[in-house]
Amino acid sequence: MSAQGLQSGILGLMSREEREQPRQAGAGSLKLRTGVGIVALFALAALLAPLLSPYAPDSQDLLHTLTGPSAQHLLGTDVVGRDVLSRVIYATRTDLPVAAAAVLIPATAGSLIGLVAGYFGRLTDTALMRTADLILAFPVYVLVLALIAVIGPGVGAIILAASVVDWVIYARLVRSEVLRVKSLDYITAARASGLPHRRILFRHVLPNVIHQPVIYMMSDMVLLILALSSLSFLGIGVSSPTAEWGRMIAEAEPFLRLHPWLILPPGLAIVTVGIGFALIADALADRYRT
Amino acid sequence: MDGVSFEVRGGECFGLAGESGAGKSLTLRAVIGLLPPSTSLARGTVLLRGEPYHARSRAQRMGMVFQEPKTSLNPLMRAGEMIREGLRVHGVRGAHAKRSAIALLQEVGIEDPELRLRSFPHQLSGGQRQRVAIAMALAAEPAVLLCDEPTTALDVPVQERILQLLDRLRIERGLAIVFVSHDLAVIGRIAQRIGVMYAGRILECGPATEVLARPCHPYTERLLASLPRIDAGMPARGILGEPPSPGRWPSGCRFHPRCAHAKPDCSQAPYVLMDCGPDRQSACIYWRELELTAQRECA
Amino acid sequence: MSRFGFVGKRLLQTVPLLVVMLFVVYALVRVAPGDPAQTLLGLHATPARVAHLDKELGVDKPLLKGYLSYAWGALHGDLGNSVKAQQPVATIISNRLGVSVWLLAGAMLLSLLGAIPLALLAALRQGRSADHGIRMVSVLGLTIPTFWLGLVLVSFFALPTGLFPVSGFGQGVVGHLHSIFLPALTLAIGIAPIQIRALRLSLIGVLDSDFIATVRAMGLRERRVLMRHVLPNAVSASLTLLAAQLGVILFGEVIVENTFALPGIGQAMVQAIIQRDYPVVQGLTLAAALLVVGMNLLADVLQVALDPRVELR
Repeated sequence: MSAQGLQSGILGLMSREEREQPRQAGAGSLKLRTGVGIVALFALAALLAPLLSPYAPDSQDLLHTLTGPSAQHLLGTDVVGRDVLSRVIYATRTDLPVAAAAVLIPATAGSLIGLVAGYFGRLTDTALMRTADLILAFPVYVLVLALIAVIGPGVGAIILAASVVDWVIYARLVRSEVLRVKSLDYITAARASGLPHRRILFRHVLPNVIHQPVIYMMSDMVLLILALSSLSFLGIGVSSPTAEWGRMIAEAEPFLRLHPWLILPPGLAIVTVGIGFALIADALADRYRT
Repeated sequence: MDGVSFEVRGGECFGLAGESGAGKSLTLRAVIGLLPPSTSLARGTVLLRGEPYHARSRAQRMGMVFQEPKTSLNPLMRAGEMIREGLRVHGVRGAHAKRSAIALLQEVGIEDPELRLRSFPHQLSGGQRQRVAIAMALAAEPAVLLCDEPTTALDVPVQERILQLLDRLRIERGLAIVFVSHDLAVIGRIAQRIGVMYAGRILECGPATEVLARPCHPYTERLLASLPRIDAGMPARGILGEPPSPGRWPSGCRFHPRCAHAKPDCSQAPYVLMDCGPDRQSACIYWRELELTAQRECA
Repeated sequence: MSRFGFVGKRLLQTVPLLVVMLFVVYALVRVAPGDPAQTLLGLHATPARVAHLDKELGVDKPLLKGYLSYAWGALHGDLGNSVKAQQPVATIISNRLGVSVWLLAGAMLLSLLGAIPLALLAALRQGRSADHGIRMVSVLGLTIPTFWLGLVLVSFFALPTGLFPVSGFGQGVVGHLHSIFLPALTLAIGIAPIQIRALRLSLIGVLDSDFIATVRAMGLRERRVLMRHVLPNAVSASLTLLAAQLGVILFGEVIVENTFALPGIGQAMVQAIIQRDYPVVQGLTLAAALLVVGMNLLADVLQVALDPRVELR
């Protein structure tokens, strides 16, 4: 019902076939290259954070607080004199891995469940679809909030809560693909030849359905980076001294009137990495659009 | 599509025949100024009563009837509202519009028109929908009615009655009709003059009876031979090969790769419609030499 | 089947869903790690107080019995009492619901006001630069964090110009509207991209269809073709989508209310989560779930009312 429609809305945004003129040759690969480039840049920043950052992310300099951009501090300093650029770089070490975990766990679990349910059908399938309908009938994010309330705020709660809800999307996605692939001749042939189920599933079915969850994972990264930074901004995600983009924005909020530039670097970081993933998702969806 | 040119006179039905993909529907849409946005540059002029026609011109109009009556009516509007949309164009509104709408429905042979005014498209049968579509087109009082395979999606008996209706309207209203179909038999039933299209060009045209009896182009011959015939007791013969796709037209005569009579210089033949009889033209450079028949070859 | 019958049937279909939803909401407290009362009161609480709170939270009873009494209470408008605020949860909700509904309605309205013309423009200029531009902006709209957008609007627009208040709810209808505008705009920018995408696709489909060619051929003015024939056929889909988006919109509400210090339900939710005020979390979750179910029902009913084709099953 609700959330399912929403998700298909988001999916549609990224992948649904849109009737249009033939794209110019190379437009797709340009999109993909730009997206991969952006994401790679952020990943590199996370890996090499200590080398790239001019300062340690939490070294305070109480004599130089809220300085604004300068030669010493390219993006200025925050309220306790920490270097904003260094914190933005170090935050990639929080935002990216947490979002990735919150995507990978439900994606793997959901895809496996969808694979099994779609392939074997019957009771497994019915049970899956009913559970999925129920979870998707809830306003998904409110359920996530409620779960965070129960588990207690923090990174673990976010990953867990996202996983509890998000696997459903992957399961449904993979299941419907499996149903399509299952009826194809070569799978029937493989089944007829008496290959063990496990081999058929992982050697023949999985490679033909995996592009769907992979495409969705890219859009999901956008959603989860947004969710993580939003929750941290609200004070129920990553907690304070840790460098995290949403948290940095929350810490800058009291000084909006005099130092509005403080909210720009972390916000732009979120938008940029989001565009990177969105471009990848879009380009991949174009590629697999048949 | 290029070099397509034809003429329809008042009270006459011009049939445009050809396989799917020949550009028949595109021709109609070009005539009425409704080419899809993806079509690259279309040039040409349409003259209506000797004056240039524009799709938005208010004085002179064309009406159009489509193949699929399921999709050619606004699903959210009652039949009466749709017809009134057409009446609005020349300022007929209010109670007068209602009377006109009822009269139109009567004219196109809808029973119980007052009730049907209030029906939504999905509450009508295929034949009824097509009649409403015709009534709608007539509401704008067009001089020319363009019909894009209006009978193809209908059952045979319904098809027949729609053809009769169009024929009656042509005579009673002095309407000029352009009738597009892939079915030469249907065209032969309704049209006085015929144009045969292939790969975006008209290959042959002339009076219906003449063209069907004595084709002057090998393509027309093949098209006729592919008609199923009850009396011959033989399976219909198709045309070898697939029609070429737009943008990859063969050189010279575009039919030559599939033509049984093709000669080497056919691939260089210029496209010219030559007179091949009274009021008749053919684009085949060998029309004189070929002995073409309207019959299927006897085996 | 009559239209009333249809609505009645759809209502009945939601009953099992509500039963399960209530259970999930109740079970939240039961899956909390440790003893929720102990967590709430801290380590120094007396055993008597813990026991009292356990009873209050309904965790002293067996699962099913606890559920039934919670459901019974909920049916009668009793959602328990806030642990921190010493106030019934139902009161908290009813005090704050107005603000949230204003914000929700404002955001939906603004998003449609923006999305419909933009989608129409993109569809009419399909494949051209206006279309590409609109699509690019809508991708951008999706990657911008709502809270950040709100703060950017505040610090680079509202504060320098002084045109709009940056927090609170204002007095009277004018005050409400004035203070709700910026938050609603922020939320709307988050909602609109998906609307634009979906609406653009359905508009392209409608523009392509034979009946539009028919009315154009009849010589109707383009304006009338668009307003009378194209839009009505494309817009009903976006109402359904709006209902489907509600889950995400509600999360946006939570964020925006906290960004702009609006005393709505979303603000209460975050406070309750931080304070681990379980009854409030439960009550608000239930309220949100009910809202979503209700909106979807409303969308279905509207669909039936707007589109004569929808079969009444």
